[in-house]
Amino acid sequence: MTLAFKRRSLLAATFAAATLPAGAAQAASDTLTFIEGSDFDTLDPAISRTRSAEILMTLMFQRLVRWKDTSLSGIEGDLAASWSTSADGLRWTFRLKPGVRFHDGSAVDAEAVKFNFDRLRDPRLGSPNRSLFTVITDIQVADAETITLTSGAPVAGMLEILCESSASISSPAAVQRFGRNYGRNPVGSGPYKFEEWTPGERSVLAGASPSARFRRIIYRPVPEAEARVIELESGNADIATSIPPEATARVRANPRLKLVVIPSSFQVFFELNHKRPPFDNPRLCRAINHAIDQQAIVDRILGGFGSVPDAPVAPGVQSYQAQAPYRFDPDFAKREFAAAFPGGFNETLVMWTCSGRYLKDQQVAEAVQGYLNAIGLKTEFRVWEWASYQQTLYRRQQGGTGFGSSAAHMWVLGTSIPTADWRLSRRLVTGQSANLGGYSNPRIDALLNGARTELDPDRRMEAYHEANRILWAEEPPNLFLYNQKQIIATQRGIDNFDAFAFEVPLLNEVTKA
Amino acid sequence: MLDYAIYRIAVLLPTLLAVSLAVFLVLHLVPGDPARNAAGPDAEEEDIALIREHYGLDQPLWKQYGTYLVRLSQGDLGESFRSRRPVLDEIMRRLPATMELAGFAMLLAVLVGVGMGVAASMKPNSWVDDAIGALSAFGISVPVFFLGLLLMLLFAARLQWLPPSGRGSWANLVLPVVTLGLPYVATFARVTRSTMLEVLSEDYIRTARAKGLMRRTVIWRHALINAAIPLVTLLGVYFGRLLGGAVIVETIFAWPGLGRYMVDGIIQRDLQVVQGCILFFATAIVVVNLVVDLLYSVLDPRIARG
Repeated sequence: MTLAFKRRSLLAATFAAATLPAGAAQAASDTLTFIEGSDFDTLDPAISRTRSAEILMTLMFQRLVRWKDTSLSGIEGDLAASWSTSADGLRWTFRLKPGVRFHDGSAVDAEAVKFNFDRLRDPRLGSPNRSLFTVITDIQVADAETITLTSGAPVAGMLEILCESSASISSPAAVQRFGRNYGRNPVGSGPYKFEEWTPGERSVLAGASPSARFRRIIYRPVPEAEARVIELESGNADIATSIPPEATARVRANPRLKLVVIPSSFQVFFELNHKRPPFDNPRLCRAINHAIDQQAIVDRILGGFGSVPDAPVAPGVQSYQAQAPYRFDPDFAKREFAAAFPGGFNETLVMWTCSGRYLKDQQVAEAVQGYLNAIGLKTEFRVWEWASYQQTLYRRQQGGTGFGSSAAHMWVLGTSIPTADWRLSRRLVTGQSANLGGYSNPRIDALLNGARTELDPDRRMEAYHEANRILWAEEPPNLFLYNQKQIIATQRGIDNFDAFAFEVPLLNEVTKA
Repeated sequence: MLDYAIYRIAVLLPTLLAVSLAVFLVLHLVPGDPARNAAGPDAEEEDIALIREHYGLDQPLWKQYGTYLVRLSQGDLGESFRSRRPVLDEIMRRLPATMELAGFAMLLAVLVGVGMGVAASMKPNSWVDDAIGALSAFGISVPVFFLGLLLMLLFAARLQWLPPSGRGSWANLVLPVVTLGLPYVATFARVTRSTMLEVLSEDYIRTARAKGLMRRTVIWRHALINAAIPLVTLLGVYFGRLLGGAVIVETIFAWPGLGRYMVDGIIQRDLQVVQGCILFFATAIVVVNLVVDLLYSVLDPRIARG
């Protein structure tokens, strides 16, 4: 018995000893361990499309300009010390801060900036971010610290484009040296420099400037949500994101952990097909928004981790202004349908949803089906796997399903794009690439197209506010479902955690006791 | 023996060619536009068209397959849509992690499983036999993801003896290897037990015992060697399944292996990655089965002659 006992404690001690080095390293206050659900494929900002990569790129790279704060209240210089616009709004001239160097020692000068934008716009790179930058038609370098970007028409959102993480400035020397392997050997000029990346395992950044708060930031992808919580519970990580609502009670009950809930720019909605009845009638687009109880969806399905939409964009999106939420009034919705279709609307509403792409998407869609049946609409429901869903929704050919020629009346989608122009124009201006519902409204077209070239920031924002008002109260393009929230769990000693609404945290602002 | 080996190796090539064609066709017939996935949901048509062209996805299918075969013959598995890096490089980078996991799980299955099976067959219907029977019933029937989370909750969250996930020290290996290996421990135990019971009732075992050989010698030298053929067969069959199980285990324990890479590839419709991984797995399984078949003829020379 004693022997057995000793053996067991010996075993435990060995296990403990084996785990100690890792645990001890992470307990150090100069190392921050951050856990996310997904890994990335490349750390080359020009071609990356993943948000998880953006988290690290934000630490490693600088851009010409950047968002001042997480509420997107304004834009400040990053590499640029100052900038000016020509009177016709076609030329943007930036003066770079002198003496900035990439982590490989080469200078961050105007030529380096030009190299990056030329690379992005080069069709041979085949960057998925290219079209954002093709508005730039010419780039002139006046001297080492002065660069001028020219566009064919005024681009009011130029600075916003330059805030995108794809506009990060890489070291030209490193891009040329590593070629196809640059995505594994990124070199920027941010507060942290790239140290190592083992795909699927971990990435390590090392502090490279006095503004770096940590000696090391470790990023680990842990796909299983439950495992992320256990990593925190066992003290192996400082911060874990995308905590499932059902695990939040456990985090709250644990005295060593705490829960941080931050609004997300993610809004999830049923996009309506405006090319066929009943949603070719704006009155019924409004009516259907009265048919569902969004508060109940947020409370019962999302476990309270969401908010009821009060605008066609979520809080945290540029141009957001709260408006009166749609009141839940199924009788009103029913009367509106009866008024529009005196004999009753006899077609079957075809509803599509993806599953697992957005928080509880399928469950929410099913609940909506229940609400629609309750006001007397016949419905048919189809659940899609994401890749086929996307392909079907965007299919342009006649007889296909995109752009209002869809076989469905409504389909679930979500978006987290934080800038007003990109978020609204692509989905709502007549004939635009992501206008899947065939929405067409001359007032909205005029407002959004006008805002694109309106160089006065106040007048531009006014146009967006007016568009938002129409899109909410008069001719809603969607059946609005919920705004997501970011659920993050941290060790108790972690403070100052903040994140952009598009779910990119500012890890260098965090403090660790 | 040599002729047999040469024949088996010669059959390998057409097999793999057929696999490559099947994988290619299936992946290209699966719905979903790889270029759109590579570009992301908010991409412009223009960018998507550029990617389509870049990867030859606008070419007719037969032409794409032709290009693929030519590249394959040069040892090029193509380039990942998302990372823009050669798929073979990416596979090689992740291979050690998967081999480590699968190798140790197999080792666990063979050592513990065969040991338990022999122990159970020594005293059939005793409490040892019953206990081992119960344990192997549990091992076979419990789903891998459930077992994985259960072990993680107990040993990492509650007792804090082992790290919950990731790869690094040997302690990281314990939970995933046990999770992956347990069903095979159970299978090996059951098969070993039944074959051993059969062999132990053979005449030559009685003869060996009658000669006055030690019990240990009879069991290990005479009985187990003869019970080995079905076990070796199992090894070949289960190697493939083990790789399949690794896909799940790697996801639960954030193990940076090939299985997870392939699953990510499937979700993102990264064709070259999925194609490369499946072809790689298929090759591995075919080769392992070849080795197993050749092993038979070592264990039982009658097979090669027949």
